[in-house]
Amino acid sequence: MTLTEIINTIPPALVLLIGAALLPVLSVRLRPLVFLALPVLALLMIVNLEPGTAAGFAFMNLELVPLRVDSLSLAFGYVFCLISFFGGLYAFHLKEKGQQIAALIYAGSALGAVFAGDLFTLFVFWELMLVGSAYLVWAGRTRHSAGAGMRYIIVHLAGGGFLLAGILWQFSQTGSIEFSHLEGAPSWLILAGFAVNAAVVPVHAWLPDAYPESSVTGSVFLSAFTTKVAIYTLIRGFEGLEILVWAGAVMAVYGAVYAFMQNDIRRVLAYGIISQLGFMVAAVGIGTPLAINGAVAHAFSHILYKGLLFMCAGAVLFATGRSRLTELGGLWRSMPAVLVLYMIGAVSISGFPLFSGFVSKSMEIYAAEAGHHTAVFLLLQLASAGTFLYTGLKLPYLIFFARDKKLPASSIPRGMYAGMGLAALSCILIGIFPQALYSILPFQADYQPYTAAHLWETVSILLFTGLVFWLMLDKIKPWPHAILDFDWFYRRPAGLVYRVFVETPARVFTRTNDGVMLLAGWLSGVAANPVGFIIWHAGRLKNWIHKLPPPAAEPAVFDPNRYRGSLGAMVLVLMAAFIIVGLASFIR
Amino acid sequence: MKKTPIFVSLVLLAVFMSADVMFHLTHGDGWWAAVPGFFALLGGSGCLAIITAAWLLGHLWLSRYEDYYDADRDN
Repeated sequence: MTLTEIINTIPPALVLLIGAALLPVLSVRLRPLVFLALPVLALLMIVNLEPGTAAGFAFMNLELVPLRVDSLSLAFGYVFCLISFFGGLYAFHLKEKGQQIAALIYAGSALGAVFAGDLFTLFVFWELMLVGSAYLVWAGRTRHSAGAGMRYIIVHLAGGGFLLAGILWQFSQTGSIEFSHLEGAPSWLILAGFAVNAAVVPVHAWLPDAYPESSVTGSVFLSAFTTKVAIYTLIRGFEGLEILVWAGAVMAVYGAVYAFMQNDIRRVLAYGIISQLGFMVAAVGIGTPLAINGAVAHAFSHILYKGLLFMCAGAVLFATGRSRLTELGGLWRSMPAVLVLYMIGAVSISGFPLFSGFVSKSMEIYAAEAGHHTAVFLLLQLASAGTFLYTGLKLPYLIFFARDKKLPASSIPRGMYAGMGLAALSCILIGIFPQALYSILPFQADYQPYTAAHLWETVSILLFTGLVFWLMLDKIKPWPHAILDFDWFYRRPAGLVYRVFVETPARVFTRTNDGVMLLAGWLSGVAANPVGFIIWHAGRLKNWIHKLPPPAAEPAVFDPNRYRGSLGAMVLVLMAAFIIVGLASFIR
Repeated sequence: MKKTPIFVSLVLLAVFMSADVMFHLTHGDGWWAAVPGFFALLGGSGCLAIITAAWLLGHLWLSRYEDYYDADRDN
């Protein structure tokens, strides 16, 4: 075995995870540089991996495969390294060790998950992703992020529980933990676990709950990994599953309508993720080579443009300290560069020609049409119009134009611009040179995005969406409201559950505790002078009978001189005792 | 509602529909391919539908004051 061959059996995830372990001992200046170097190193390793490699070892009676390489895992591996690098640039100014380590653990475990060849390895990385991502949610360090992070963990632990239960059931039935196409009863439990991470409606509410509460840089990483790993696992395990077609179509429209209602810009983008995931989930359900290619291509470009959009939203939050549409407006004057970069992300996600959405999302829509899923095709087209409406029109209009709120905007670090710039560049490059993206897709692709029909269709939809937006401009106002979603079902009863299971037992415990302490205090008081206690109470009883006021208090501490009896009484008692003992000895 | 956007929209819709009729630009094997300017109609009405649906859902049903979930937990 040559050195290269040995290196090619090392999972690239290890690079990031070992890097995360090394980061704490590095100096504050060195950390961002090392953070940037690690994804580059991992990318170099991934580029050199041979498709078809499967490096595994036996662990007890299990055959673990931490590195399984094929075109599907490679495509996700490339984009995870890219967004880690862009995110690292964006977070270059960050001094906070914890966030850097968490982001590396998160990115590393996401890489580990897409290269995992067996279900147990997948599960380990799946849960490790939760560790990194939950820290990033908490890194928002607000009152809201504390609660949102806790809910995020609880929901994902439940999802992970389904996944593990499914894996164990699968193992007990088939004796195999290989991760390939899944079927049979246990696969439904595994699907439930995947669905939670893929934010399939109705188990999606953790996403718009947690992502907007994360730190400025944390939300960029969050937007990339968890959900796209889930899309990868859905492709691997459940391609062609009919129910996913409908689940995806519902997600696409649901996300678009909800995104339009939100007030927080990062929450708009978070619902946008659900809408975009809907396209991918539907494509996985359709399951034809074109659809799977579309899902992978869309996931690839989605990670980049959604990362860019979250970076721009973060830049607005960083500069103004605000993220609510009701508080923003007129920022084009103070943040023109961010506006341009944001618009590149927005037209990419909306699928404008020459941008990445146009060449990736359309594959899924055509796969729906070619598969004769007419209703799904129309719903996805509707969601496309909605995507342009909330990301490309409403958000930029209300953030950068509308009423100028004269907000003071501080300057943002150059690293943030660099991260946004590179992400924007990648969106444009994919749009102009789609063949580069198509060449890494799992199936041989002869798909042509730039046809007259496709251009006509796209221009028609986008133009008339824009026209109606213009028509309704007076009605487009942000609402300072919370919008209920499925998390109502676990957040609303939370107060009641808290009262019944936490507050009530706590109150009972406190009362009992107080009572016992009171009793103990009283007993210790009595024990300090028991004779005085008896004498005082006897005196009080006597005085009460004689209708006299209670006697004066006895001293708190026993004093032997005060209660010593007379010598005569002592002799009398002793003699009585002797007489009793003497008399008793006669009794036989 | 202002008059200009309505006028511009209607003119453009007419242009798109007639262009579709003349050059058969909409492709597909579904019924929609026969509707002139189908995707222009879909984009416009879809946008309208989403704005309306969001407005109705938001104002009539799903809106709560901002600290709705915090109200009974912070004590």
